[in-house]
Amino acid sequence: MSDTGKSDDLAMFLQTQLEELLEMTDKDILEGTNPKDLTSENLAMITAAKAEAGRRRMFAAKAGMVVGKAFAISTMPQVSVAEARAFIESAMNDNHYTLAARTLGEMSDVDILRVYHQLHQLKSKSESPDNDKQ
Amino acid sequence: MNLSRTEVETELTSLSPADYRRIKIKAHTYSRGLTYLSPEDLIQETYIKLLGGERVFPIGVRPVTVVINAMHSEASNCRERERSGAIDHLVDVSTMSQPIDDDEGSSVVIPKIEVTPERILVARREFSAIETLVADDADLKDLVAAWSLELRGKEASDYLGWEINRYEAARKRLLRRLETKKEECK
Repeated sequence: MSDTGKSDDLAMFLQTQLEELLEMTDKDILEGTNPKDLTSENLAMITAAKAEAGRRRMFAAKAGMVVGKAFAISTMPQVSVAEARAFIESAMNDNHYTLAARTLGEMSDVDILRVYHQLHQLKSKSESPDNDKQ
Repeated sequence: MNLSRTEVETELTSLSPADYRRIKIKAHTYSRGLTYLSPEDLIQETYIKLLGGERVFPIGVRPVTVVINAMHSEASNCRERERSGAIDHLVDVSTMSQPIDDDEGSSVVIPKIEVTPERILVARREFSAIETLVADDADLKDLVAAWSLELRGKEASDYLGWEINRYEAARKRLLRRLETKKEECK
């Protein structure tokens, strides 16, 4: 018999089996089984499935946060420390922003870049069209 | 309209023992063609998807039907993944496989498909697996053939020339046989 023929046979077999199963009386279906065992098994299955569904939701939420963070970082402009330092210097002369009273010379490169990105985000927000509407 | 997660849980919890057995019998049938999913895994995965909202649970449909349909779909997806994956789980490593004399201890692996293609071909056909399962019982073989022609109930018993009692007894026997574990059939 060809593969296609077998595949059709299987599909029809499965459908007929389903119809028979749904039509058979509960008494016939339960013959040779302990209904209490079946109920316990079903409840155990539900409990385990609920726990796993919760774990997967948690994992998906965490993965979403990681992706969000990565997206935020990747959308930030990449600049050198010197460029970031120059940007902060000019911002210190801009009365729109208030920077803590510390000299740029005291800040580490990491701090320089962090402050640069914070300022950049603030600047972007203040220039966004949404902000104009408010 | 679909049920909420809480409503889905209520429906699953309210399944009668008979409906749960119907689900189990179908899970055994569907998982017969799968390598990595046992009937219990299949029910579990289906419940996870229904309870997690990944699969919808329509209102107004008999819950046992919803679960069985979802299981069918889940089994199809799993079967597809097994077929399209990098590893062919149905190919056994032949005893003709030989280690190679190299630094990394590699082996030339000859899959058994090259040795006995018929054996692999049969393993790939779920319907053949069902036929094999009932090969020792002439009535069950006939019943499988009738169901594969979409004949059931009185129509099937007439087609087979059986009294209805004989048909019902064979039907119960077939369903029990379908619950046989795959490893017990080898």
